[in-house]
Amino acid sequence: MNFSEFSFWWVLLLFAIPYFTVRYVAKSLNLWRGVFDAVGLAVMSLFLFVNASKSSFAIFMCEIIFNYIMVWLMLRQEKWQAKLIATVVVVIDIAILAYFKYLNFFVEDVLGLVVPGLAETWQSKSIPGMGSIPPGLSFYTFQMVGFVVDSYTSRKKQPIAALDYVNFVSFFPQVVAGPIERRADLFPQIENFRFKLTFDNFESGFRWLSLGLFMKFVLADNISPYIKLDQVDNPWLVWFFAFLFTLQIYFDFGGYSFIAVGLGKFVGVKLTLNFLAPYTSQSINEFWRRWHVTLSTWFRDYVFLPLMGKNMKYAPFYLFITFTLSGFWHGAAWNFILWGAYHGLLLLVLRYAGRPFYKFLGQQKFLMPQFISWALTFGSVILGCLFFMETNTGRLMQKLLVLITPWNYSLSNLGEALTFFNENGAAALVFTLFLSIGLLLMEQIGVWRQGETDYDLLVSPWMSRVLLVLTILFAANTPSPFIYFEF
Amino acid sequence: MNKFFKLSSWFAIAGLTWGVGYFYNARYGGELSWLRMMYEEKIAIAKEVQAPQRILIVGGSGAHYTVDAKLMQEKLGIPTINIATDGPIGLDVILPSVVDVIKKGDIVLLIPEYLLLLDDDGFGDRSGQFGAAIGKPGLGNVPPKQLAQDLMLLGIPTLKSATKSSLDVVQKGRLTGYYSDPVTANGDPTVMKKRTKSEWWSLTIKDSVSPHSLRRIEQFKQEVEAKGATLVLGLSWIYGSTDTKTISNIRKTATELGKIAPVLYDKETLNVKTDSSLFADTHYHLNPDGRRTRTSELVEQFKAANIK
Repeated sequence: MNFSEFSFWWVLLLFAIPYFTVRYVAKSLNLWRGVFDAVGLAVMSLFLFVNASKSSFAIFMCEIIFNYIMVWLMLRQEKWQAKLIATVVVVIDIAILAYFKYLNFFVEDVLGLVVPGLAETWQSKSIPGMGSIPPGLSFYTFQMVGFVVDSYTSRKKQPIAALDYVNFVSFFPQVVAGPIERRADLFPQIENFRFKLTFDNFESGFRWLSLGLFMKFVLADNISPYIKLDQVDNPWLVWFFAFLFTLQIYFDFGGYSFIAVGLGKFVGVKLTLNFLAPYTSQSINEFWRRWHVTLSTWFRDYVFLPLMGKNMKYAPFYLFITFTLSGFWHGAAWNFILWGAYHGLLLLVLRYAGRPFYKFLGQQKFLMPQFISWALTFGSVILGCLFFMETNTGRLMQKLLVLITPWNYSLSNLGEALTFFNENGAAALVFTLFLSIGLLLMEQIGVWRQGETDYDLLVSPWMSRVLLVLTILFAANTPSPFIYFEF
Repeated sequence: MNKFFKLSSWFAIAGLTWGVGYFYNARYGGELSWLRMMYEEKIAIAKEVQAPQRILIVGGSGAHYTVDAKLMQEKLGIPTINIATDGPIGLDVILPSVVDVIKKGDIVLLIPEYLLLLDDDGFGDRSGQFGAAIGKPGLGNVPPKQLAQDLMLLGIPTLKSATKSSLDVVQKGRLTGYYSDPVTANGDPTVMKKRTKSEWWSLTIKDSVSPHSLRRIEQFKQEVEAKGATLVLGLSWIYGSTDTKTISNIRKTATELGKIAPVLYDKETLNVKTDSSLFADTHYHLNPDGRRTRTSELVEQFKAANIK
């Protein structure tokens, strides 16, 4: 759901107020049945989905019905029949995703490379569903695929109620942009769902909501207008805008995920934390354990491990393939493939050169090895973000060329970079960066303290209330679109 | 009970902070607050000036910054008050916001910029917030959803505005805004803003007046006439392109508006100017010289139309 759009909160409010009023009155008259809670949640989720995107909702409903019937059938079959059904469902789910998300890219950017004029001919054709990617498709497809595989491999082959399945795949806080929940984590909480509207859940929900809103509306949305993609000549600015984008994408997606966690808490559902202070990482390995956790583990369990099978000696190769595919999942464009491959390569470099490097660093007494590891990791992530943010491949190459040309790092270019923004703009940016770095420092402290989560400090009673105050005072009044909605 | 108070604290903190934001936005400090103060000052002037016949200039900033009401008063001998405000308030809110001060015998000169004329629903970015700021929430029948959203945003100062205000305090020792400069006894601006950020380019008008704007102006005419006053319309001066599409759209707009009330404009140029030196900071706002030239021309058109 698009938490940036007022219409999400408006529809939620217009549904929730009468629904919970009726529920309260009916409960006091002893007329309410438990199943009405599950029905209410399903209606609320579907209602919000229709409001978010009618076209995506139609595809979503077809996929729900198809997946549920097939899983229902699969759970009644044994051995190869069950495997066949699971395979068919996964192939069809991925085919639907491929049709809407990758067909254009495949025809225009892959076939178009070898067949002259194909891209223009293709663009002139009117093919259903080729306008834009239906919101949420990438996320709910993965959740549905995961559910099929987990149901196939689960020991308990008990039938699944249709209502429970609908609630599992359409749970409104996370259906459109994750976290991509697994059957073992979410399904037990959703099965025979009952609203748990307790003071503790509300308190906890508000704290996560407050953190998420602050990250999205204060940090990400105030950083967004400063990023200028068309700056290609000045390497200082290219680095700086990539750095800003590195901050924006984390606060944008982290903000979304924490708002989802908060909304889940309100109704008594615990969602997986999708981010674990990723910018505190001291290696790329660690970064990927902390960044978009549910996607990383999804690729690990459903792509990397099955691909590798028992060929452990080819693990690095399969790792590289998995990361390239993960990049491709983010978007049907060359830059995302490059981004995935870049991270795959970084992991390989770390695997083969990491140990001697860290050993060397550890022997130095004055070099602050932890800080150097962190700086190298963060620098690599920023460079990666350049691949991620720049969808124009030609311009991306121009920027990379500018970055690797030493004499471009001149003082005059530095001067231009330092005076790029006007006085008011520069002051607002400095203040936004001050808030951003403050938040990242608190995450770092959270990591050092090794509490229940890395965000313990940020969701503490006082801090979360301070964040609410800062959000109301400093939220941008024109929110930028969620970056991950494009995927 | 402790848990209840703990939970209530969220709402109390949110309410209190929103209140601070509302004060900044609507009462003192934010752009909307300066607009509200300017509007209230202009309305007070209009209420104060009593004469059997007055000219009231209505519109957005494209009227506020383009007509010299004092010069017009001198040339026509009729008390003239510039009560124009700001385009993003939207036509559907601007018009009812001035209805109360119109009285019998008045000539209401409405000069809406194309932003207002081309709009399909009559509402702009400031519609809901302006109504709430002047104590009339929902003025102009802002739809409930937009009103709810605007009211929510009314308590959010934003980081950009807060930073600008902080710099203002440090550099100037006071808060300022686009509309914070005083207006004259005729409601005219006293300070002219200059274009600093970008080069001039010719404005193109991509469409003609919308059916909604025509209906709303027609309704306004009835409201004005019900008070015994007369409605006159004017086309904006713009620094614009003379391409055929722009000219054709303006001509069509003038023709359509002419079916409602007399329209004052130069029949040859259609008020499209190709000399940017007459303009101040936007394609509508004129510098003092431009305003005098524009007003003199308007006076001649007024006389030629023989409006009484």
